[in-house]
Amino acid sequence: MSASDPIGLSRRSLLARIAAAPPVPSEAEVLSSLLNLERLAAASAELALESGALTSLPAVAVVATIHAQEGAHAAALARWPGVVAAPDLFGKGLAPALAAVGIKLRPRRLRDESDWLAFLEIVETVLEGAYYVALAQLVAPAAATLAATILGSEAQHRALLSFQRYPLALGYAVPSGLVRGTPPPAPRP
Amino acid sequence: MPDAGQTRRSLLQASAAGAGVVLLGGCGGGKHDRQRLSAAARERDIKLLNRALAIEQRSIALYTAGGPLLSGPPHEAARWFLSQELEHAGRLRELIKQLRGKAHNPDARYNLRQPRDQRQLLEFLHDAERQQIGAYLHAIPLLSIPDLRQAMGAIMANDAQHLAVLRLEQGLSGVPGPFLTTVE
Repeated sequence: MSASDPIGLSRRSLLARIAAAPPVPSEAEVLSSLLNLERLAAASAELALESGALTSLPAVAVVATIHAQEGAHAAALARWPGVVAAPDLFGKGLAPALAAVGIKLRPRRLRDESDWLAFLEIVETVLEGAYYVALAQLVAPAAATLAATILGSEAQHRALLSFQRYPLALGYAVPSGLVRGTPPPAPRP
Repeated sequence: MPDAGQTRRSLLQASAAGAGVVLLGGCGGGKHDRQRLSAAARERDIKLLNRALAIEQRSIALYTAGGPLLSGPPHEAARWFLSQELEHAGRLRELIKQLRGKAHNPDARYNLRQPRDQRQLLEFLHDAERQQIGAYLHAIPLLSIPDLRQAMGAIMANDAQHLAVLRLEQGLSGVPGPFLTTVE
């Protein structure tokens, strides 16, 4: 047997590539990250509902629906074998937890309904991005299907939140034919 | 017990490391992966993409024919969504071309039902969006290449937004359930 494989890589080169290849996150790791994001999203919606800044009934209804649905997403993810909810996710409070996934929560700057809806839109955009990335990482068909069904739900949430701020402004609510969101930054090793 | 996913994941890890095996799934896919895809997997992916494309093309026909019959906000929504459906079809054609496949051409004519009124036309558009979403939800777990799953997910999520807006136009809840589904 030659020192090189049929495609011309030496064993040493092949081993070096294997060592250098980024680790592929397991299904459970990907879904655990999504579970924690869903918990953050549910907590964000709850905070908005408790802020007293949502003054119109339709806005309250949309945010309450989103709150319930993020909880349903979290429950579905938590049922997946091996998925673990981070026990200390809210250890330092919601704002630092959100900051870790690239979302700035500054309650003092959220003065009215529009501000809160805009904040929740950002949260949904990060969720969209996380599920978009997950679709490339999840191999098990059931996991990919679950991620796809939730991605669609998050995209709808974002559109409905935008509609509350800018009724009938489709350019804001459905701005692009391809929904990719803004993925959270990769966790530091 | 290892499942099919784990087996595919092991294969992916070997492939990602440059072992030169046929890539069947996993993360980090791209144009290079599409070039290395086995013939059978490529054919299957092309078929799934073409199925979605054919449904998009029917929706384009429906929005094109039905949009002018609408008025007010539904008319504006139909115009906006038509432009995005055209973008979806273009993206699907591009992906099929990258797989060296032949993209489905729009049918010469579509047997579209004549709507009684605006309300029924909105129902037809609603059904069309649901059919598209059904095609994507069917395809996503079956596609071999990760970035194809992402591309379809990105299109499907936009169709989900269309569905939410059409539901609002029909006086329904925008998000009837927490999981995107074709069953309502």
